[in-house]
Amino acid sequence: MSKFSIDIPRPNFFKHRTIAEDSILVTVDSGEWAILSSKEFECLCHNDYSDPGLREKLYESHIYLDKNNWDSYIETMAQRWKEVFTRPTLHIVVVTPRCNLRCIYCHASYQQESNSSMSIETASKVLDRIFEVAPENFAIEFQGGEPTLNFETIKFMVEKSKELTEKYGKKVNFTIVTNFTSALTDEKMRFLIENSIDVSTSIDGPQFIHENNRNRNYPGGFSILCQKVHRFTELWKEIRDDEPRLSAMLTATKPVLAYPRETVDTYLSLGINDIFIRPVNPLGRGEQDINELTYPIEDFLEYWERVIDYIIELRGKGFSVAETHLVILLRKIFFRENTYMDLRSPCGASFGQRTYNYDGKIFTCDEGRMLEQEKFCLGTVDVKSSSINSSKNGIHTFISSLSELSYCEFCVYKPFCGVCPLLNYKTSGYTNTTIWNSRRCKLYRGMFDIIFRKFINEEKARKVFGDMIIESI
Amino acid sequence: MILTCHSKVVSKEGILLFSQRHISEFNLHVIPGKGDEILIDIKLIKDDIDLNEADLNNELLECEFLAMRYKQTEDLRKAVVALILSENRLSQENSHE
Repeated sequence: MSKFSIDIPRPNFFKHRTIAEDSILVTVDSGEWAILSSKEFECLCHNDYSDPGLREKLYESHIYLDKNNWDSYIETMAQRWKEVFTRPTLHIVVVTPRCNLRCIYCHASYQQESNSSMSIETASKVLDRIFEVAPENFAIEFQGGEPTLNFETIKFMVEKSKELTEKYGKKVNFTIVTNFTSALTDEKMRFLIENSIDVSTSIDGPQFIHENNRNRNYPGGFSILCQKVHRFTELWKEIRDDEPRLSAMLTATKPVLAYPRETVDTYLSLGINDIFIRPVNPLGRGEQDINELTYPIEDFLEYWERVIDYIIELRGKGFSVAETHLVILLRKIFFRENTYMDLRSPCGASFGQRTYNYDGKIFTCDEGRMLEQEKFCLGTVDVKSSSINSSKNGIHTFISSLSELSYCEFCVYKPFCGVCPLLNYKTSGYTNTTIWNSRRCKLYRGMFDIIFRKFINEEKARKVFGDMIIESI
Repeated sequence: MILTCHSKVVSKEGILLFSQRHISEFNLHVIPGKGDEILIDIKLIKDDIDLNEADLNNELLECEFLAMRYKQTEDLRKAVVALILSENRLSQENSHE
């Protein structure tokens, strides 16, 4: 036992929520949890541990602490903190703000007329800054606008990184987010495949919805996307021995909420088995008050649950398909994983991730560059990373994201959730005003409610959840 | 709407937590009642909010429960932080900068 004396045995600081009939979820800050019956919960509240089954359940999940499990609780908490108090593992590089599409919700506020792009000189400095702070294993993600419109810079960075990884003994994983239009030529696809760059795109559901959202200035966009996806798969099989890897994200606008099954069918028809579904955020053009973008978050949750139900049904028939948002949340619940930057406390802003804009400015995160506010600018690539690390803007944003500063501290889902100070700022003008029942709060509380309810009540869901988690390892 | 509770049942920490939970929906003022009674005067921020008195009373008790637990575990939570930091359990690899 350590030199700090603490008065145990006794219950930990736990939070609770009734999930289903006679099923109360209880969590503690380490991310451990238990489902108790009403009677068991009452015993917990009255410090009645006479039932050995209950005592074991509470002891194993560190809801009840004594001298025998105290050290393991400290170790579990330390491990959790280690995952967040680390060096930046995700580096987003915005190689150009230009885009050849005009998506109605564009969070990055595409710029069609701009001639601005990241120069090779700036890209070289970006790499210097990244390698100064990155840990042994890290990721570089190319974004835009449409990043393939500045492919020379991407090629330069990938090639230069090979020298730097050898020099510093580090390993980098590359990702690119691209819209699969005519800008993505065969030559570019070959480069991405040969250099093992993970590719992600956006598919907003059935063709008529996707084209309404993303192709108003680009007729036939969905057909071109299908051709490009098919061609990408063909080239992959020519060049590599392993299975083609392509992921896609769906930004849910109001029309798609009526088509959960069709959403999944569209993805499967393109050979994409991993779908990442998210609602529209009030960033960039996403904050417009137009019909497609404004809907109650409850409607999105209903749609999401119907997608999950359909995926469970398909998997029962042997189809391999998963929803990535669900998998991320399952890993948080069952593995206590705390590495997903967008949903943890503190969030990844500045210390877990950084975004390097085409003009050489460094922002706290992708949302920071989308908001384009000086408040979230850490500096520029012209200064050493030691100045960036001690940026007041970075520290302020980081501290604002602590769940302990708001009602989140008392929420049963606190260990799995997280604050976004930038969305707070966007909606309220302040980074540290996380509000219970805000749109984001309702979103994640709703998703966790759905997951735990299905886990408790549905055997098929339990099996599918388990399979998805194993497949994700 | 006015909620009635007793100072022996609900503490100021519980009321504070309750107000924090509903910060986007209403402001509240605490008014002393008769004897141990406390009156919580709720004023809506927006017109389109539908409040149920029974639900609010339950939430107030839940907030009190949480606030009480939070207070009772203050030393435990501080000890966790102190132990993790004092035993240097967060050591990271070195920078080459």
